[in-house]
Amino acid sequence: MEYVRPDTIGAAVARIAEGGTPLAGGTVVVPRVVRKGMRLALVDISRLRALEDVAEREGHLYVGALARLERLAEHPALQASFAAVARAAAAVGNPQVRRAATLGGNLALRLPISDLMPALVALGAEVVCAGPEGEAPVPALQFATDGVAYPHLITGVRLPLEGAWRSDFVKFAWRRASGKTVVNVAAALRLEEDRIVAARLALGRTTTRAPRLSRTEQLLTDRRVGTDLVQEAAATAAEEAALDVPSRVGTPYRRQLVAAGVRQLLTAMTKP
Amino acid sequence: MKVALRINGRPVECQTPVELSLRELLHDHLGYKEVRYGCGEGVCGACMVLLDGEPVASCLKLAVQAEGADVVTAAGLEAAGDDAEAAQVRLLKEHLLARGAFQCGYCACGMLVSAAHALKSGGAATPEAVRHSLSGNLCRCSGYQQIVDGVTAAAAGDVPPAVRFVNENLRQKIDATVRYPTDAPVEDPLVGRILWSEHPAARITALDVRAARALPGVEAVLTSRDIPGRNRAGTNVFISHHPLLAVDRVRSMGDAVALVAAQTEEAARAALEAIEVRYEVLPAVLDPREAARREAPRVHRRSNLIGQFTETRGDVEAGLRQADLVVEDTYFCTVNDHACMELEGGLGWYEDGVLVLSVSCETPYMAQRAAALALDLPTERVRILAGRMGGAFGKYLITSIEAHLALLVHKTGKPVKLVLDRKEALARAPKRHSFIGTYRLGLRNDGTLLALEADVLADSGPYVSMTPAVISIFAVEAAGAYEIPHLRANTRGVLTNNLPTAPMRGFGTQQISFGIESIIEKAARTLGMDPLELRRKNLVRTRHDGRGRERAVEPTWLDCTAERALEALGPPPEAPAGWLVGRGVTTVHAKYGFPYGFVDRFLGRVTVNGTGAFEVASEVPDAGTGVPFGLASLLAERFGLEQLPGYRQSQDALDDPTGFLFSRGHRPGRLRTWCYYTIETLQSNVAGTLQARMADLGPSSHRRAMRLTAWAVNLFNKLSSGLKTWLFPYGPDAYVPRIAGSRSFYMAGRAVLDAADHLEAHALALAAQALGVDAGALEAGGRGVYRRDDPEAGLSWAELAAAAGGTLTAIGTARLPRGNLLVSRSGNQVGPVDFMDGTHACDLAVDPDTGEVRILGYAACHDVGRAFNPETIRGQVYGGIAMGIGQALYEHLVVEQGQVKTQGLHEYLVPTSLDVPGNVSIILLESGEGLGPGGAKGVGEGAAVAAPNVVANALYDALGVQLHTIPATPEAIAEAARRR
Repeated sequence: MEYVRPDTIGAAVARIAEGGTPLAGGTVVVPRVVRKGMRLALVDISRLRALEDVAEREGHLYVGALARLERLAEHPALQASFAAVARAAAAVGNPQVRRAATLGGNLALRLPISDLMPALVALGAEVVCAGPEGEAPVPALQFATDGVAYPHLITGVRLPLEGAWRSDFVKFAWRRASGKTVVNVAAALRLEEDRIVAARLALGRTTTRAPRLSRTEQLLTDRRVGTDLVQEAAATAAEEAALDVPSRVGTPYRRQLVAAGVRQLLTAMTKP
Repeated sequence: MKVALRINGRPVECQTPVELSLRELLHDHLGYKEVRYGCGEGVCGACMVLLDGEPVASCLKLAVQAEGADVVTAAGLEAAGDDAEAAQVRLLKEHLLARGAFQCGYCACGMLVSAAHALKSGGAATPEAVRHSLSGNLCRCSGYQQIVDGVTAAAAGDVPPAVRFVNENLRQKIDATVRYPTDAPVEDPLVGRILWSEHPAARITALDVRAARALPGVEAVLTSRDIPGRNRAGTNVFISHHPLLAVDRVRSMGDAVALVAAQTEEAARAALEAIEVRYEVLPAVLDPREAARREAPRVHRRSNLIGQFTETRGDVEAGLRQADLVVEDTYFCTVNDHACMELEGGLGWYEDGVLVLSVSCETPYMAQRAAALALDLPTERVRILAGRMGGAFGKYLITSIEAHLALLVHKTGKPVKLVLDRKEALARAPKRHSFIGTYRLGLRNDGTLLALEADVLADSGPYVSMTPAVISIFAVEAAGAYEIPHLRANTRGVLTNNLPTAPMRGFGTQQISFGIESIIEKAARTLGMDPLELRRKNLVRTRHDGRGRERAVEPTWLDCTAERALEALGPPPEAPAGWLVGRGVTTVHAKYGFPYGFVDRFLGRVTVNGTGAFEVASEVPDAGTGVPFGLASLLAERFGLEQLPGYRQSQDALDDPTGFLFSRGHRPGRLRTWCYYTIETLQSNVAGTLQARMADLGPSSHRRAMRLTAWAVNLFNKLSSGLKTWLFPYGPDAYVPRIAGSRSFYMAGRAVLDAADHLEAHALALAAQALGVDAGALEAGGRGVYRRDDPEAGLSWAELAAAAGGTLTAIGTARLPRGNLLVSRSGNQVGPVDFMDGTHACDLAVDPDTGEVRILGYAACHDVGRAFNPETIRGQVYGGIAMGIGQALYEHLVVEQGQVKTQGLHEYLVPTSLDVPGNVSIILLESGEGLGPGGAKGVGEGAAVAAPNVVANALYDALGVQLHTIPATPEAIAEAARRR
């Protein structure tokens, strides 16, 4: 079995292009290797310190792929402007998993596994992927549903600092730590006084095809906040939610959780 | 690859393959045994270490990734930081020790790493913060409360609470100096693996291992044809028909087909894949109700019905006719996994011609016999190292993996490691019996219970295992804590193609208690009566007298627990807006000890050595229940010793089940041994035949037949046991597994006190002779034996030991009060020895939108008879409550078509520190009414029996709808909330 620890991002990308698997926090790859006996060509990127940055760049908050989930959960800039990302990071696994797991590793799981993916979709973020042709930002929605066709290394995420967006995330699991997600919902809203002027809602666990709740978004746009609107939105979300990922949990209950998630998020986010 | 790192301050350089995890490097190759395996996926935290100061799960890191890193294990925590940090770690340990915070201790080292980091980084300021910091460390025993208390107190810099005796056994666990069976220090053992069945029911049409044997690095591939002795696993208490390795059929996904030993994990995996098995799939019977029908496919040639008990009292039909109200319903308990933190299996090797097995087992000499029989070796050629284990809860009453390991060691002649991984343990190892109970309960409008009819079915899996004992307990305990004049309980065990079964914490009491508590709750709510009032009105008023006869008792103590539990719970707390609130109560009157008529005998040995130090020895291994500490404390109290005696799990007794070696210091002759095994085989065959024949009869002729056979069975039982007692006055009896359940302390404690009496008599005689006075003028105490009239004149314990020839030793025994096995009048099973009485009460809130449950308050009151170590007992109660909450709400094992779909501890939801309430009140009452030493009672199982019921009853109150199945998943709860 191969293992390399390249010193530069370029070298890492080159090895990945040859079929290598990136290894960072190890929370996903290591059990595959140790328990399931998978034989991979591992490219250990965990020491590429440049990928740990969290910084403002060109109207975006740039979060490096090697930022640990524990750090994201507690990061003041994220908590202030991109709460959904911080909440989603805090909802993953348990303390030791969050301490090891990285943003890039979580995103590489894509849908339906990644808890951060719906938060990024709702926030209109871009996933920066480095391939043999260089670095390119990929819209989170596209990344989530279609993936990236060429071998790549996720180097970070660009979150638009457009201002006035509020966001939040909720996850339903059957245990409070190390819980496996049953349904998760992320929402981002732009409010002008008590009017919603723009809304983006995304699901993660239940779908790989259509994470956005577009009918609910339309319903919310240009409406005054209030309990009735919240109920209406929750009902619409439950109805339109795509449930294409099979589950041991029944469909009515999954829809009920989608509604509960939307209700909880909107209630909390539209509080004056 | 080469890796250089620092471990506990020491530079280490080694060669490691890429696919080795840091945990494996530390534990298996470098001897840091405190870095333990529990799940392999970062959920349980048993393998946590500080990596460059950060606590991480070392199973989620490759060894090569630790290049240049600074690793600190639990053993290195004190030395890792500056003086202030070291003092903080020491204080933490003292707090945990004083609170008896760990039981089996398997999780302790990982927990300490998290806790020490929380202290240092400010993650321990409040109990809630501590719970968050420790939420990645699973503990199956403690219920977390004493750990959280200890960490919080250490963070506050409090002085540790004073204790009378330091629990040295626990100190070693906290100091990371103990070893568990899977920690045995063996260099480069072969990797053992099991090839499991692929179908719940199939005929094996071809099994070819030649290709697998030819692979490089493969040392042995064994099938049933390679077993030199008997191809039998499981227990031979009843019927022994569970093959170690499948011959021509597989009957469940838990059947082993072949064994592999190879030089590497990779080679072992390749060998498993290269074994060619062809199956012809047969119809599987998976629903126990289906299996009970005559036309159902048979799991074995004989009937699927493998045991039936009918408990009758009064006239149930008349009782139901007289009733003002009759409630009916059916309740279900799905299978549970014991989820011990340590995995089953261990290591084995040959040492001076003796096969040594380091494996987890509750009854070591059963494992010894199982291995010896499989290899056709005399039992003394097999030695079991089972001083302690990482949790048991009844799992190891069914043995098979020790014989698998023995076969591999025997065949290869080399050390072998065979440990299941967590996924295998969940998918293949025995589970708790699932339960279906159908009830009709008749009562008067004033709440007086009149009649109960219960029809109960237990799914035994494909083999009989301990099911007859479990269903006999179902029958005896069908009425729970209540006096019901008319009763008919018909309990049956059936074979199916589901996983094999092993009893779990309560030996059936948990399931049957859930059934009766649920129907009582339904009756109370139908009547519109307060459920607690209805319970208190009908509390049990009779119990057995020690000879199987009933005598009246005042239900005062049970009633008192009800009153005190409610008082402690207080007024209902605030719930989040929109949530439904409910309060539940449950009363538990759960048996401990075997039913009457079974032979049950314990041995204890007390020794004083040349320095005057006491030691207590028994066969009870340390499964975390606190028995070793309890026995030592008992002896200390008996003589008023200043220092706690040491505890030794005695190997002597297991080397020889006849008990001769333990008591007499020499082995029994061949004739005696032959007699012993002949009687044992007879007893076991008679029990088996009886079970088989009775099961074939219909319920009414069954009752008649039971009455007729009762006298014959009782006579045979008396004669054979009498013969055994006569031949082997100290012999532990192999008729039933001996060391398990809440009776361990009760039995072993009495044996130790008996030994102490003998020791005292001997010491008094020695001193009387030396001092030239009458023994009556002397008194034994903490210092030795001294004159009553002159406390300075006498002999110290060291002098007494010298006078006795170097050591002073005495053996004691304890036996169960022996009566009939069956009631001669009715043919019913006679009840057990003694009961654990208690009441639990809880408040909870349910989110109707999501089905999420929050336990807002919880109180438990138990009559423990006498509390020798209150913190240990509290730990048992906290742990039982956590396990019970898990069983009520979280621990759902998904089984489809006989196959377990639950993949690991990320899906089998053992409660974390965030899932159990942080405000549990525990009240211990000391009635002194137990039959154990000083009036003590068993405590280990009672709380685990009660907790699921109280949660279920509170859910009923909150939802206004009763859920019929535990665990109640959020989905089921939300669905019920919709129906409301």
